[in-house]
Amino acid sequence: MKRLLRIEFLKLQHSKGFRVLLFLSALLGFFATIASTGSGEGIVITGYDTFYKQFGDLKSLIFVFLGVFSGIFIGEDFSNRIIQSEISSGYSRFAILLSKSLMYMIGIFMIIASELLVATIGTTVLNGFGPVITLNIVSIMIRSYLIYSFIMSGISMICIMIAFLIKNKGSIIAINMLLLLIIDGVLQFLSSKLPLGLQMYDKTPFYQVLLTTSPSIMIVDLVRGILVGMITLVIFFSITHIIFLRSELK
Amino acid sequence: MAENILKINSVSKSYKDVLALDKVSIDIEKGRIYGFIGQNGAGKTTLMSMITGLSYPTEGTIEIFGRNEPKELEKSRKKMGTMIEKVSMYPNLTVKQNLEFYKILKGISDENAVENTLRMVELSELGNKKFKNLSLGMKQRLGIAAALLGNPEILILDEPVNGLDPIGILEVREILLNLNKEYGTTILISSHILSELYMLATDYIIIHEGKIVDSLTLEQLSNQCKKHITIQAEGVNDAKNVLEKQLNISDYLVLEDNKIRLFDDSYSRKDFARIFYDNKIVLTELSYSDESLESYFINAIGGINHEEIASNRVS
Repeated sequence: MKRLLRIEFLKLQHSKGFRVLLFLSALLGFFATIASTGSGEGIVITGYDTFYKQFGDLKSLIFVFLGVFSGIFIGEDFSNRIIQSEISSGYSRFAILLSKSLMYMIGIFMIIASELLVATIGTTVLNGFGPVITLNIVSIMIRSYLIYSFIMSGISMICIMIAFLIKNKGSIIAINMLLLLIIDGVLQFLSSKLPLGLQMYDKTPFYQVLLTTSPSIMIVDLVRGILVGMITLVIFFSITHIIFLRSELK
Repeated sequence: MAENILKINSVSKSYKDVLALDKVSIDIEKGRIYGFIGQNGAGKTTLMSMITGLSYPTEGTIEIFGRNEPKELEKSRKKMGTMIEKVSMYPNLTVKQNLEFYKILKGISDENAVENTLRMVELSELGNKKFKNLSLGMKQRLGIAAALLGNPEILILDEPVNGLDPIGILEVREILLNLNKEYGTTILISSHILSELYMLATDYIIIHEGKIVDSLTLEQLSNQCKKHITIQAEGVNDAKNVLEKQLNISDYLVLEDNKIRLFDDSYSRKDFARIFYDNKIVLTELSYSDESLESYFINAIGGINHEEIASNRVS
């Protein structure tokens, strides 16, 4: 398992696609910084405001990134026959799936962080941070980032499941990009039309991912958000494991 | 008694309605080189994929180093070097980086393992070239290098010399023969180049339409491929007497079906016909043969399907 993780780390390090995604994410942060200077008269968007605003603004774009990244990170491993080599070298399919999922999630954490950092630091340089920087504020910001990224990781397991099911890079990217946007769109639509829809949406990671990033969130909501993320992760990881175990590889 | 390090026990594999392998049983002995021969679609890659864990048998079991439980099979596969169909590499990484990847994957601690293996397959000078920029032959060599890394106990190679030029083929043969000689590496290799297998393998397994149609040692094959006359007579002992006492022939084999194979070319078919006739022994078969591995293989699979060849030519 340690060796597999080392390999996945090296792969992430050398992945051009991942570097492009990091760059695009940072570019988005840069655009957010630019946007903060063009706000209405008398309104100053600070670094602190930008940080929390990004979670909502980023959501759909992160879904797109999850889709592209799953194709690059897992789809290419199937087409380059790397997964086949790992199996032939005596690694269990569980260990292979776990190592890839972990490193994929670390990649997602990094992509989200690069946008947030550029946007927050950029806006802070231009407009100031806003509140006085205290350890408490910084730790709450870090908490928001970690929980946001964790719940996104739960959602990203859907992309990993599709990747292990389809195995073709292009199809994985296309399906995953659309799938997450469609699921989120449908859930949002139902929640605005039906009371039951709202109840359903409330229990999904697509809703919790935004709720839990609020700096003034209650501990109960925080725990619920983490639980929803964890349950999503476990359910889709288990389904992916079953799919992978049953897969006949060429 | 020779140690069987790989045992295929009555393995079948079906894909929906298609039976790709039909109760295949093979014993692979330690230290030998097995040439796996069969047409496209005969089931070679299917079987090799199952040995390497990429797919599962529908029926039957696979035993590697005496283990057949899934978890134990995974452990056993750590002692295997494989190359199935295409070479598995990262296109954007260099030759060296790709082998470093395999070094980590196989848990090899020897710092010089990558360099030594590159030297072995004569790719040292291309260490910093990206995989995607290599020629097909070079890619094949790198695939073989990855399989050889860490001196595995068994090598499973599916068409490893595809795309190699004649010199490359010769070098790969030398490498495999050396590995087998020096480390006793057991090799299961498939190739379409039968003359190559003839020079490399110690044993041959012929597969056709998912069934093992023949398996024989190099010695047996050499005997088959030697110029010979096959005789079938009513009364095999009388025929042997005639051969030994009247013709002084001792270089012959009595086959399972009571046919006699003679390797002595000092008599013609006419001479044999006459002497057996004189001794009142009825010959039911008298044939001359000068088989190559190719013709042996074609005979083993029941001849060439000329219609298929014609349709391939048209397409």
